[in-house]
Amino acid sequence: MAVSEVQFAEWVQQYYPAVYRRCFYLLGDADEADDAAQETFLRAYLARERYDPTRALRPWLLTIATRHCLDRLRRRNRRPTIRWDDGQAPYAVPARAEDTLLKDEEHARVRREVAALPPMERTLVILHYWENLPYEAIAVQTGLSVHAVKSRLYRARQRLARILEES
Amino acid sequence: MAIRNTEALSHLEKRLRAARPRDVEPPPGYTQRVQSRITAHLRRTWWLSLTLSAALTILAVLGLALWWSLGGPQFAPMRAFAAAIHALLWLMERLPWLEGVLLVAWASAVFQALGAGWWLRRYCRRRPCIRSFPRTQSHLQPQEVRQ
Repeated sequence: MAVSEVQFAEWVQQYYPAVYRRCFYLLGDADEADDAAQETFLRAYLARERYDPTRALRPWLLTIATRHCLDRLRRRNRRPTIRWDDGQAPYAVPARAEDTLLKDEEHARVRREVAALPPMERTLVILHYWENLPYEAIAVQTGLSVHAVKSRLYRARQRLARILEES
Repeated sequence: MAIRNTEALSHLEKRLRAARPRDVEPPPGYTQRVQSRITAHLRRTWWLSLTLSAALTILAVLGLALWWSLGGPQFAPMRAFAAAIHALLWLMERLPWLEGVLLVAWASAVFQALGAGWWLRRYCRRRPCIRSFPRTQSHLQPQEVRQ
């Protein structure tokens, strides 16, 4: 399918926030998420001839974004730097008025432990609990089978339960 | 420690869902940033292909110049090969046993190639994970075909 420049610009306008959010959730850093979202759209632009218009565009873009972020996470040798709520990142999420300080600390702790999971388990937990995706959609976007998604999510939950109990 | 009951599981799930960062918005100006990223990529690709074709052209010109300096149309690389064959024949005339040694070496190479082929075929039947040697269906057991 030939996608015109105008049409592609509309895709960016419409779907960039969702792609950025996915990258931010997976990478945990605003700058890196912005870079990953741009890279996602570059890849989509280069592959736009292969896009099947009978299928939904949003999952296609999010699949590219998820796999790209997974590659980035795997390339990281060290434990990722968490900047979700520490206020140091230029686009850190501001604390919400209804959140108490205690609640904030609890959320930050859970996020830290989620971020410390191995890349694939971290991705599965985020897609399931933060993006509310069903197992089938997660399987498509990560390239795993539904069975593998379920078993790895189970392992991730066990690990998180153990770590959160200990701390 | 495994999650033993559904209550503990549901508590963990609740904590996980509650920890989702809210109000995540991209920094403004993303349309322009994507556009300039694509433009930069296309420009880089164009320069790369231009550089590659220029390098190939220079190599071709240098090769042509070398060939011309070696004598141009008079230069025949096959002469070196012919000289090597001639030297071997000259050696075989003087050393009669060399012919037998070469024949044995040739036969051994053929047998080794056949043996390696047979072993690979057998190995690939047992290890279908090697995808560069695809299995044909004819030699599979019925239960394997069903799988």
